Amino acid sequence: MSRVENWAVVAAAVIGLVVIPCLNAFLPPTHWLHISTFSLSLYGKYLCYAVLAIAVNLLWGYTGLLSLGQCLFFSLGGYCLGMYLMMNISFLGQYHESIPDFMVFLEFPARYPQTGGLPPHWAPFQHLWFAVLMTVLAPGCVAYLFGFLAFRSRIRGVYFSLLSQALTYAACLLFFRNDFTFGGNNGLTDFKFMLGRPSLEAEEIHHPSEFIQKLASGQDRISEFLWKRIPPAHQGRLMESTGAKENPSTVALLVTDLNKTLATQTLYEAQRFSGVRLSASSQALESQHPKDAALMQLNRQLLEEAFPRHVAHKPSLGYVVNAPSTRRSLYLCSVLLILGAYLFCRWLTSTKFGLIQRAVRDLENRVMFSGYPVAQFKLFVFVAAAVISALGGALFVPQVGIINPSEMAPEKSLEAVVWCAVGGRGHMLGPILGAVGCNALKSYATHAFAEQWPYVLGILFIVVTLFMPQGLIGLPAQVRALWRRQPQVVPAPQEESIEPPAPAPSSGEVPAP
Amino acid sequence: MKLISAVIRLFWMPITLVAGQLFSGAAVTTGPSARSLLTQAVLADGVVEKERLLKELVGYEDEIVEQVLGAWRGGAVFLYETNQSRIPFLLDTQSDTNGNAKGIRIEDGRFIELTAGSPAWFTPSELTPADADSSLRKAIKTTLDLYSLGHANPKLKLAAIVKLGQEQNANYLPHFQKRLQIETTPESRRALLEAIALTRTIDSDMKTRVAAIMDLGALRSLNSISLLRTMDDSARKDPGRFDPETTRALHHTRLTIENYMWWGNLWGTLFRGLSLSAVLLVAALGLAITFGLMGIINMAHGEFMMIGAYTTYVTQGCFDKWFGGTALGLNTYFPVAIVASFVVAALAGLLMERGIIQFLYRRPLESLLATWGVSLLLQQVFRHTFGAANVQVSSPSWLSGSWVLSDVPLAYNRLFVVLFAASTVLGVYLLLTRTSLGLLIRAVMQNRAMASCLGVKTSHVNMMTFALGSGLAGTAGACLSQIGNVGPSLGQSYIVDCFMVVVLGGIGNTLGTVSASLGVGVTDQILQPWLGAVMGKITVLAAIILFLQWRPAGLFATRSRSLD
Amino acid sequence: MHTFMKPKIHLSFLLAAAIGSAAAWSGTAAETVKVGILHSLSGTMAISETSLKDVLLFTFNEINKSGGIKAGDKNYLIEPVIVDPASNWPLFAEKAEQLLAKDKVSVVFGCWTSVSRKSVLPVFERLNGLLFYPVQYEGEELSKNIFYTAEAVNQQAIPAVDYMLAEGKKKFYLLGSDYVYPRTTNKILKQYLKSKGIPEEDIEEIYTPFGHTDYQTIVASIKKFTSGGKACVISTLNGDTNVPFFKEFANAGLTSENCPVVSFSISEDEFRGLPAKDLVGHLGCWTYFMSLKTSENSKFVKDFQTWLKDPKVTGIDYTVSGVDGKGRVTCSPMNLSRMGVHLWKQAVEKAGSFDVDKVRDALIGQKFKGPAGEVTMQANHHLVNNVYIGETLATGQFKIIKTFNGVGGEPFSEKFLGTKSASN
Repeated sequence: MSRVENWAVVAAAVIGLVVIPCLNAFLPPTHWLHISTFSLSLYGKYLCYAVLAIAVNLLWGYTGLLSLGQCLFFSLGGYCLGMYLMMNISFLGQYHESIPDFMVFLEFPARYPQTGGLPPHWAPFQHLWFAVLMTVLAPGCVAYLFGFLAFRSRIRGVYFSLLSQALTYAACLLFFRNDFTFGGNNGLTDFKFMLGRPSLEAEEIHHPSEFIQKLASGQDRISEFLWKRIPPAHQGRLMESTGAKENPSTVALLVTDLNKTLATQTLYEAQRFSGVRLSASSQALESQHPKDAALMQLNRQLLEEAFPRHVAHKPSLGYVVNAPSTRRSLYLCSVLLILGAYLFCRWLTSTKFGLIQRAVRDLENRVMFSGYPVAQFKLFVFVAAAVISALGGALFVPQVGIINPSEMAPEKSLEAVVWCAVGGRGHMLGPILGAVGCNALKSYATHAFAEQWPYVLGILFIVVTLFMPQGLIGLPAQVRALWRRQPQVVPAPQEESIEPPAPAPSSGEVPAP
Repeated sequence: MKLISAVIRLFWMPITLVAGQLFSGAAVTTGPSARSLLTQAVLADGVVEKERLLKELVGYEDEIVEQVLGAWRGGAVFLYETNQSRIPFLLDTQSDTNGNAKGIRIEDGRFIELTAGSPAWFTPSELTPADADSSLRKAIKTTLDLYSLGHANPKLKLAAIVKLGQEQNANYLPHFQKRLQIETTPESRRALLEAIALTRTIDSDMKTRVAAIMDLGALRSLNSISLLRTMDDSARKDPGRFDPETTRALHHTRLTIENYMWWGNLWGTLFRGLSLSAVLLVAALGLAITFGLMGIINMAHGEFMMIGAYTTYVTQGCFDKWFGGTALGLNTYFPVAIVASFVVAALAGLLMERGIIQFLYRRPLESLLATWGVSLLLQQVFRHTFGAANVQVSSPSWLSGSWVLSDVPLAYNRLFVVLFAASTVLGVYLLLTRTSLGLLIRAVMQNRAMASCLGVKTSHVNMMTFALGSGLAGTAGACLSQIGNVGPSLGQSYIVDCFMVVVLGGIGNTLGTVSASLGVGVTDQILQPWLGAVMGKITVLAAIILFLQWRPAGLFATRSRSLD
Repeated sequence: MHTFMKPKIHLSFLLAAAIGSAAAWSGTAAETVKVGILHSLSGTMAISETSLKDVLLFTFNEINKSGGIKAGDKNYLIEPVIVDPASNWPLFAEKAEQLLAKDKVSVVFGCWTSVSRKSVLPVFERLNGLLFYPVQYEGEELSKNIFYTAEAVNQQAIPAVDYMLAEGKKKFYLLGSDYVYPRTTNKILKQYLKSKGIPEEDIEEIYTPFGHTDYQTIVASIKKFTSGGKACVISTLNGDTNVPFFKEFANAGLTSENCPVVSFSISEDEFRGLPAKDLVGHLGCWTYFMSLKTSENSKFVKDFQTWLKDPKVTGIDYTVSGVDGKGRVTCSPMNLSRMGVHLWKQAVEKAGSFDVDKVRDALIGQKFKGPAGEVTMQANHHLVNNVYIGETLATGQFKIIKTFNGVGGEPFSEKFLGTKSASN
């Protein structure tokens, strides 16, 4: 079995990492083997869900902790990365402001005047390293806190499940609030750039006074064009500042106005740039007549080339989140993430730690009486699972393009548990199979039988729980058993994580199973 | 049916006639009959003329006044236009299968006839209601209110008195006083006194004014508080506004009433807390049995409630049909609906137990998945059967409105839920402790193998217990249909709360469930005014999580020497 | 799959032609154009969105019956592609992309909640698709790929408040579900009311979570709020929570006379699940009511009722399922959905092509005489519409008590808050 599994994993990795991306990148769209970027992103999404299912399995299948709130961590990871992406929208929102749209509308500038409307906890999220750090830390800390409280007082079984459900429900309600500064019900959406952005920063302007004078003089047509788009009131303030000592607020003003122009206008026009030597990459980009995000990148490049003395060269203008190449890379990241998660869990469960983990699942009290600090073991697994889920969530967000509080709703976490059960819990590959399978079925059914698909899914869950206790992954063994005509077709699962909570009479005997 | 109502009407007529003569005295004057005045009013040109005619109608105690004016306000007075004349009419309550009905002329109460002997049938949706813009509606309402001062229905009478008192219109004073002389019920007398006092607070005579203000204080009049506050505030800002006596009286009365209000708020919060607790308890009780006793994580619990609610809807529809849409059907369907919803939900539970759950007793966590599948299925089935939109369940008249106890309205439907919760808990308790079935249930739930060894048919008991839990969920649905909406996602809005209540109370402990729902309900209602509904709910959830730190097995943990 | 269906299409066409139902086109084979429907048919939003799916299919049938869409020199019949995004926002984005990238639909009609629209917006912009959005919303958005046939805030909330002010109301209780549409609407209304001289302390703003079932405290506070008279409630509660609210409201002895409630989310369709007798006299404000007495409207209502008995899309091998025919009504979002389809059809015919860029240009200035009067698509992708204020009757219908003619939708509040917006 293990060898088969190894080969399957290697094969899947090759297909996922090499074959599929190649089919997407190198085949013409008309070719029958071509995989569209849409499908690619869809697979990426399934894989992110599969990562979540791996985490659920690590908890449920291997430690006996059924968490009904795993999507909380998934969403928290998503929110952390989503915040990074929101910080890099760079003036391409509805209002063309430096802060996300919902902040403009909810009048955050009045609430946080010292930062121009950005809540203080948002500011560091413009750096990817911080966002990634928080993707690990924020869910990790929440999981640690909750787990510490829960396991310390030996909350287990159904209590644990339902408490984790209450936790995610409370968080869901909290994130729904607009006052909570995370975008309320609409959540975070409409991402533009990652790993850099084309907008101008204040420190990228050299010799600002000279630059302003050059713009104001209107000697060349680009300066004239740019200057015209600065509001007259601002023009006055900018002109006053020239000659005097450089004032950071005027530079900020100039930068904001220029950014708005970059975000909204088409800078390039043959006559306008007749005196400027364009780089090859700009020319190539221009010939594609870019729109939206890509247009802004071109604009920025053109600005640099038109004012080499005043505008610093930015090595990376970022990647457009929606561009096919970016989506392919995100997909590849998802494959790598799931491989990593899979290998980590496999390694973890094969160590002595994993042995204790399973012992906790099967007979917690005996492990405890043997002197193992059960609570700490469980806490470690719970935090690890939270971090894995969060990483999945972080990659989920740029691929689907939205994160909102309904991802934390209790039924989402239930769904994750269902994938795990359908695939086969307590097995490494089961949850991956379950998550990908269920979601692919859902994608297919919501399109093919839009009206009837809940019947299909509902019946599937019932059938799986009734007739396939080992899930899809246990199906071959079941079929084999059937073929051998063994009387016991369905081997009842040996271990049961939670006994029915039977109230014992006062004489208090251990209830029989 | 017709016969009964005819008989009632026969006996009723003389009574109303006698009563009318007793009470009205000089009120019914000579002049045009109420019917003809009404006809004139509907047909009159211009709002001013209509309002004048409406004023004239004040004092008539003919039932038709209320009937027609009420219909007019609701857009149910129609005009039958022939070449020369326009005839205002009402639709007959009896309608044919197409929803068409005969028209009753307001003028004489006869059917409109096309030719002699053949009444005209009208389709309601094709008729244009007689004009009633909002100012006219206000005038109608005033006339109705004045009419209602002598209304047979005490509730309506009370509302009318309060409303007219608020208007502080000195013209109404004689009406109030006349009424006060013949009024006997204490509520109405109090309301009348209040209305008189309120109207007199703006009297020009200082003594009358002070006395009126003091009266309001003595009456603990909440209806006047905002007025008194404004007056008191302005008196403080500008001490010369009123004479010192009035100012003192204002200040004193305001304090008295505010103090009274504080207690009223406290009592109101407690009642609201109690009522929310009852809702939670009713919803969670079934779960306390299926989940608490049997250990089945029944994610379809909410859908069993939905089944109960839809059963109520269907029962209402049947009664509506059987009783031909009369009020009798509406008033009697509900008790039957409760029983029916118990039976239907219990049968559904029975089916589910036999079909699915019985294979999963040893795998309780997997029951979660299977029942979730069932919940998805049931939702979609109901969506396809009854449509995706919510359905309309009307409350019987005895469950509408409220009983006002020291100025806190205790809604009848809420009171009913409280009583219902109490009686179901009692019933379940008695069933479990005093009957042989209860004994068997407890035996099987505590030790299935042992009970089986002793000859108990455990599978039957399981079946019965699960059906009981599901049936209780069904009655909960019937109950909730009176306070909330009935739709395919009805169950979803309660399921998390239900589980929380059961867990907080301690699994397998009915008393725990009761105390937990009380705790959650009252806390929620106390927190809500301060934190708002959303934060209140979040705080309660957080409090539950922290509370279970302290008592990991809930409020009333079942003590046992066993580990798990 | 497609080729396999062709013969059937032929057959039904011959049949249709034989019956002689408006064969205004000449042509050999029937060309079809795919049109996407993106409305939740399961999950929490199914309660509202299912009706829109029905009315869209009805409209497609209406167009197909009259010969389809004439683009260039060919006639095209509409072939619906229905997907179920299941009230799940990431799934909305996925389904939108599927419709555009895989099914290659020419236009999509869909979305109800703002978050679903926000979720699909980047997809439509990236793939240059076309979306018609029919449900009243908070504005503050303008995408070149979306046409908002929906009521903007200045076509619903502002006229309603104007009416209440004219009625002499002095105290406003703004009650809403806690999500972006109520928040935004109330924020705009607050500014507007302040500009009309209503002091801050006479405006109360309260939010409740989705699916809230316990309105005791809120109704108690409303009761206190109204004790001085001249108060009204402006409700942006979403569909489901209205039942517990109104039951509680009526039981506390509040009526439309002592405190009218103006609801922006209750249309005739929501009314089907509401206790009608508790709502008599409360107000609604929409750009369409079923009770409108125009010939276009009575035809629309009648045709729709007929269609419900035998739901189908003429000329296409397509089985319509899941249509509940009992007690159905028409309402504003349904009418606006239908308006969207007709405006799109006209624009396609004007542009002579299904090309999105061409259709978009052709859509601006497009007029259609609908059941609620003529609508015009403005350059800002919103409609000029008549706004009606209606009073609810015990029958679940609205009696129209005030009409504002030709109000142009404006998504950005700063543009209409400065000046008076809704003109008579």
